[in-house]
Amino acid sequence: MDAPLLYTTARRAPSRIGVALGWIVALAALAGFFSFAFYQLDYAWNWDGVWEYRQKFFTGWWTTVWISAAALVLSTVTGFLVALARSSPVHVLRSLSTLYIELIRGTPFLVQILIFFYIVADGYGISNRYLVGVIVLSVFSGAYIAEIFRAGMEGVSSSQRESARAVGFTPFQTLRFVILPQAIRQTLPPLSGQFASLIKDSSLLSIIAVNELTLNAQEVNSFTFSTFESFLPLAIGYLILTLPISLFSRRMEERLKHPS
Amino acid sequence: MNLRIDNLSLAFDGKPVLREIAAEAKDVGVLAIVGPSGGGKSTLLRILSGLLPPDSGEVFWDGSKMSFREKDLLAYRRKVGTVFQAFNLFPHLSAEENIALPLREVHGCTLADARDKAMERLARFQLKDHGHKKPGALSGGQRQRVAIARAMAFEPALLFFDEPTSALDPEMTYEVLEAIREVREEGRDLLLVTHEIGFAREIADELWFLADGKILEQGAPKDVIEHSGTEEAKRFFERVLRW
Repeated sequence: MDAPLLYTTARRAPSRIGVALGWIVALAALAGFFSFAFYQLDYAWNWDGVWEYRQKFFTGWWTTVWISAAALVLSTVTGFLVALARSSPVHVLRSLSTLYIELIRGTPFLVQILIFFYIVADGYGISNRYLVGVIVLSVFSGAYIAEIFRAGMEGVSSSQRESARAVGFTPFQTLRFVILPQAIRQTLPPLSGQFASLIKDSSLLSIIAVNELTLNAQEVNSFTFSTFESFLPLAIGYLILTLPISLFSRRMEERLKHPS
Repeated sequence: MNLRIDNLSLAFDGKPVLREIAAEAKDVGVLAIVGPSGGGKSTLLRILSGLLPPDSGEVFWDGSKMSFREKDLLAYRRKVGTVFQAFNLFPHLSAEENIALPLREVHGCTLADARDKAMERLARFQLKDHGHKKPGALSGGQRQRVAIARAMAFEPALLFFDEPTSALDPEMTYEVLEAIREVREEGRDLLLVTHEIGFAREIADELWFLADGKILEQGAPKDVIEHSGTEEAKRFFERVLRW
């Protein structure tokens, strides 16, 4: 049950029929909106031409999946360590992490990809563009995740830290048993949003010729000149990945609520 | 307990909270610290319970000097129990787990042993049926009693209470004060900061009156309350006992 944000008066639990009706109306309105636009366009669909290249969509989608999955894990680890470094008593760690977060969040991902691929990766002899793709995506997303983690951990009240100290926990035990379990609930909604962004941002790796979904869609488009038929599957390919994340996050949030 | 404080001072952001405090309690079972809000009572308790190092000054327990190095403070905190005003418990854990977790992780109990001790403590405070509940589902008085159960689960010889009833209504205050009395009856030493003057007079062997960062009165509770020497103390006790 969602907490009422706007409505201060208590509401009855919504009926199933009401919920279903709400969805039907919303989807119908959306379909109507776009049907009208396409109808005005009088567009000649050419799905047959694109269907020929369906295999490219699958291989591209699979590349997007594994690159995103790898970057998701790596950026979460990065974000967690950077968040800890940001509140560390060591000055150098604090400055380094602040510098990292501000530089990454303040510059376009596109520029970061180019600089990392043509300068850093080249200079350090990393030639595998998929490896570069995973690293640069993790570095980029890690900065945002670090801030999400930091906000979550700071959200745990100081009286909780004091209680943890009073029962004799070490700083590490305090983090593990008190701070993290409480921070995780606050962190889930922005974190799942960031994960969805990461998956979509992987599309920019197409500019360094990482053979992922967007690059394949672009190629199909240039072979068939059927722009919408190439890019609509692209959108669906990403939705298949991002929707489960937000659904999963919502279920976890429910499960992690405190009382009783 | 034998407690001696020498020249204890602490300032927050340049504002003095404790000013060269000196006091002594000899062979005392329960020491109560009372005084007006903002006078530095809770700060003094935090120093004595090992949560906060002072700027200067010394504390002696049974004649030996208390070390304020973080490593020693951690070891010290593992020997004493502390209960705060409110928000003691970890909200993501059940009442039982609030007690059992520190037993396992700090005091090296086995899983079964920690659970048994937790349940035994909960039963002693009439909380047997509430062990599985999280703090959000307990009343304020039940929460404080779980906090007390947690603070004494590892059998500390000394417990600290920082205004344990000030967030509670009268009925719950009664429950919690009863629990504290039971703790005392087990022969443990207590140091409590409280607004409950009647309770302090009843249970304490020694009473300190702290105002504006100084200990202005110390002695047997009855003497301090009825025959205070300073104007501040006289006015304070007159007001809190008036109604």
